[in-house]
Amino acid sequence: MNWTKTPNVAQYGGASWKNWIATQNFGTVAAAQNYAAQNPQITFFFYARQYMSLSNGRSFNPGDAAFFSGQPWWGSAPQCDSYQKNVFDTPAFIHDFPIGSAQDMAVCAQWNTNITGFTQQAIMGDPWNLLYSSNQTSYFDTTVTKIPSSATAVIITWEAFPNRLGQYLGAQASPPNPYNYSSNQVLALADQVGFGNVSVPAFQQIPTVLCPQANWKWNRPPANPPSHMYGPYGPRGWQDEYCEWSVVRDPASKKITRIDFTCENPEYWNTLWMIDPQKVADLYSSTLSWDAPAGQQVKVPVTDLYLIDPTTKKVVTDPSTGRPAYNPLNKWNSGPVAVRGTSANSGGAMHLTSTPNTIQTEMQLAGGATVLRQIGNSKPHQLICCAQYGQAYRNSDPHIGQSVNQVVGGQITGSPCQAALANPSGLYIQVPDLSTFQLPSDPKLPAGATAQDCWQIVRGSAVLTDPVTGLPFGATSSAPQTTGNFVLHAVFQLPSAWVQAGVKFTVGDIKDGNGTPIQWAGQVSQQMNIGIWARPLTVQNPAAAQPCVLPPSNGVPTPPNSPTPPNYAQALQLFHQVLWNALYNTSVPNPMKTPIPLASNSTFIAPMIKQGATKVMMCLTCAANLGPQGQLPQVNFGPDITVTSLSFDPNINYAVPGDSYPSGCGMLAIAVSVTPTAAAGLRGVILTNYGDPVQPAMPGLLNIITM
Amino acid sequence: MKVPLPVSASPSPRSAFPTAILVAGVIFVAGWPMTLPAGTPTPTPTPPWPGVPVVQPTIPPDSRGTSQSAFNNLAWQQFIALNWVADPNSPGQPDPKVPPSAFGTQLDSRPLVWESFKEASEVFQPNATPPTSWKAARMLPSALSAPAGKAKLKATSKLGVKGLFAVSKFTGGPQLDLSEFGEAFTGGSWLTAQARMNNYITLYEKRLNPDEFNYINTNHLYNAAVQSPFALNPGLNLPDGSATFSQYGTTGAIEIKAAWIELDDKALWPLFKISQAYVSYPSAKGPTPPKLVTVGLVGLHIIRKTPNAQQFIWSTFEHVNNAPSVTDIQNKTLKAWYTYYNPACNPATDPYQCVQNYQPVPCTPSPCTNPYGAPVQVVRTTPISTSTSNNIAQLNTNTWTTIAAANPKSVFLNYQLVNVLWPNDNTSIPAGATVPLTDGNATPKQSQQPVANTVLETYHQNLNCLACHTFAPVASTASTKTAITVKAPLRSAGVTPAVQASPTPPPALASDYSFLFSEAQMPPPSPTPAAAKP
Repeated sequence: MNWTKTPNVAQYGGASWKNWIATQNFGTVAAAQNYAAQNPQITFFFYARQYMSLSNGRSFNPGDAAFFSGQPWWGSAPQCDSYQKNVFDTPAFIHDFPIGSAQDMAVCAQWNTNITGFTQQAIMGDPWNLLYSSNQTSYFDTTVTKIPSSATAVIITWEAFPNRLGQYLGAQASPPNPYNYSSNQVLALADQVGFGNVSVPAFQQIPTVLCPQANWKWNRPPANPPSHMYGPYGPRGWQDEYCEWSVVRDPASKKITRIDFTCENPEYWNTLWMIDPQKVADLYSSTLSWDAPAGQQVKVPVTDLYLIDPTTKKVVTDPSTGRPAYNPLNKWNSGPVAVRGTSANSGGAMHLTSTPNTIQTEMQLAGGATVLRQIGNSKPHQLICCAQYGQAYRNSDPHIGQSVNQVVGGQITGSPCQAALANPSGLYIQVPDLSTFQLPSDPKLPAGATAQDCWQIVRGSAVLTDPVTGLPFGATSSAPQTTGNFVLHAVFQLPSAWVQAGVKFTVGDIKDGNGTPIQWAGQVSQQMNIGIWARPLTVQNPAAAQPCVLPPSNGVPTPPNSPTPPNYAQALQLFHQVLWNALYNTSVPNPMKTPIPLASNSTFIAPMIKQGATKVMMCLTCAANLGPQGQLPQVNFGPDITVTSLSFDPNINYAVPGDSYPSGCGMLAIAVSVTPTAAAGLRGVILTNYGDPVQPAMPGLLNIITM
Repeated sequence: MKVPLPVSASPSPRSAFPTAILVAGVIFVAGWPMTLPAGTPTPTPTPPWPGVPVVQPTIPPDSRGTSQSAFNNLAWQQFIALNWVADPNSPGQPDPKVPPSAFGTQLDSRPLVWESFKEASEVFQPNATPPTSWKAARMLPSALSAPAGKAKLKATSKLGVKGLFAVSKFTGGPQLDLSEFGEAFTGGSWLTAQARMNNYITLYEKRLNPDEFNYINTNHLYNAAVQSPFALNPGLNLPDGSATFSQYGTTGAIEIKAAWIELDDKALWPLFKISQAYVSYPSAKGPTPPKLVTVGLVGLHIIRKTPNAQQFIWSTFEHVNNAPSVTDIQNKTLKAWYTYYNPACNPATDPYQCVQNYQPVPCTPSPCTNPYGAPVQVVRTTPISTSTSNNIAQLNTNTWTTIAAANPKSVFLNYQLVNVLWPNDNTSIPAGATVPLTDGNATPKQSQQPVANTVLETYHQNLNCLACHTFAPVASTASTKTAITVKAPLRSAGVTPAVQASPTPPPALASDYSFLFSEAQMPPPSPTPAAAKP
């Protein structure tokens, strides 16, 4: 186990010591670390080198180690050093169960497993079908690599409102599109609600060739290159900047009364569900009802969140947990419209649902972006075309990729670096500056009331202390202010205290910076940024710059004398068969009228099999081929696991989580048996087409758990 | 007036400079090229720019990353470097004898680095006359030539003559003049200060740095006839300081637009960066003859092209006493006085009834309904950002602390960064590009935070620079200056030009976001002029 040492600090005497677990005397720090490693509840401890007395009456002799769960609150203590376990913490260090409880520890352990696998996948890249896109070792595992306290985290931010809506459909885009929707039409499209004389326009065909820039020539005869319907598909798939929202409106006036914004990744909510479905339902209720008037609150039954098999019409049991499976696009987390105060309430935004909006995707993008390219990194669109991570023309992906690449290249810190998503990995809403928004005058408003008061943090934090530096994230000793926030869920609504005081107006009466009443949520999300935190780690020598990924992006010619890219079987995702059947056969309607399978909203959380289980039926989606005589691809999960390939369906079509559009692939049905003594933990999968040489394993697809 | 000497002994000139690179006998130091005599030891490298403002005349080659904070920090560093006292023997360069402790010395009216740049009208001259060499003495702006008549004006500094002028009425027709004599897109409006400043009208100047001058001069782009064919091939692409453009310099193109106010009250001089300048004001009888006065800096635009910012970095600074923000007024956190805002404004007696940011109408036809002497009640409509993602207020405070550590009485403690616009989708402009160019996903977006200066965009604070500059065209090849069509961006932004533009012709070739190029004129029917001697 790896530890982060913070010298000359201890748990602050004035802090709550409710998370204190024990104090014991050890001869060495190593002995204390060994003790802590045995207890999963312990997350940190301090070790007294000299006698120390705290203001709370506690005293410590040399060799005493005090053990704690949760997060530390450091206080200066020259007599002590402190040590934290290196794990992947939950987003924003959130604990939805009491800290130290069995459920809390289970969530933390599962989350650590998830991010461990995603990290391995980010480093692996794609050695199976691409050249210059694998072995991305400038991305590092933050739990393994020692991080000095000087490695200040770097925030990377972008605007929350989807840039692609304006780019492909709005007026004055560059390159121009043929649709020229007004800014109000774009806002209406994002909310799927018309207002005044602005109706909701249609999504349209857009180019598929985006490099070196979006090619609209398909719109003129001959129709080449091809187009496709605007995506990502899904009930709010177009909200693809890692921020999604749902809007409550007054049914009579259509004025907005509340907007819920979320940037929470679906993997976290699937993890919570794996531990306690009822807790998820309770959090849905409390979050979507947060500070809302009584008549606007909702009570979400856990059964509303169950995944139903479309064929059997029965609740699907997840073999990983033995409990009902989770439907990520349930009625309370679907689309941009929420209905409240009626007998048929629905809608809400609890976590991200657009298919590319996942934390695993974000880590894949960051991993790919750590590879320095020979073309340089000053132009983000050129770089994304070259490196083939993420989606062009977003506010987010090109900018994230460029920023990570500049971290690695040394342009940001002044010296070459490795980089990773800083712990706690997540996507975070940044607190907006709404000082230009204007409240209507109302005699019941409290003194000093501003529109900023209506933007409220429901989950997450404005400021967090970075365990690496001991300072607020992004802060340095010379600039001690935090440079970014850790908000997970925010609402824009009138504070309940105002409503109770008799304030008569609502959100739709507040004016934005242009003096326009807030008619669409986009007027608020245009003021918001989303961020991720990168952790730079200085290295002695910069990594060698690579050519652009081969084969090149659609629309870009292959450079002369280029080597041939690999063409091997590639494992994509692994499912328990019953889950795959339900997810793949459930069709998700959307405003683009291009339904896609619910499997597109699955996650890369590794399905679990217990030691000793036999003939567990699973489905491996993959890019693979049958042999000349119909030989099935071979699957290998490593020692003590036997796999039998049963059948292969080459005609699967869904968006592998992270992708913006569905695409074709295959599905290999397999039966998996695990010996009782098989090593527990994550396993990669080696998938081999008949006659091909064995290639690297796709990491973290299966999780063997103890009996 | 007497100019006080720097208060402390001069340090080694080398210590103020960062890492140097020796290229063919010329040392390029963070953008400042200096030719050193043979045998001169290589300057001792100093630590690279730490990414936050330091009191050194150092212009970093680019932003440290592509984030708002990275560009904010770069903007402040550029401000510090460009506001260093200029080397009187080497225009465009900082005076190596001036130590950090003399940064912003009160009552020091010596020209600053950016003040020693070429004034735009010195480059784009009548009849496409080639500009004088970079080292030639600075001349009176062409707008002041007529009012000056045959009067002989003494140099305002060793570098030459500094002249400032205010916008006057644009007579004679339907043209929307974008040459930016005054505020952009006002069609001739002016900005009158409050009574504390004796209701003087705000004065302006535009300048460009050696890199941009070298590019224009070398390629004869001061000649309108050259611009269009050049824009087609090889393409009008201002230098960004990278190796590709090293023949023009290593800083990248910089354009400056500054706003000044005449200061009668000597008690105010220690609060401003002051300069000596000849000024001319509009009047009912035409521009007044130039007079030599002391002026104080109230606003400064710095735009610069770098590899990370092909759509330029648009940074803007202001004097802290210019005007309050809407929230300052709402929260009653007003300063004791403002140059452009009267806290005790009385609607009953104020010419504009205290209407905020009232735009005076040009006196066409006369008589004027809006007198030049009527003060405008200026208010900042977008407060200085305090958001975590763009905490300019905090950066200003931090930078003032840094400046104060070098010179606790620096006049630049009275200047604040307002905001910085930068391209989130930094994109090269190909040869033959026409207007409108891409705005490179300019950030912060206009809907999020308009980037505007209260004394340079008083009446259009809801706009971003690139909303208009994407429409900057090459010069017309007509024999006389013609209208510049920018109707689309103005209309989309809800702005109605005070004077209507001409009917829109096919898209014009773009001038890489710079409206200065449209000031070029056609040559008389004679042989192609030669470039100025270096």
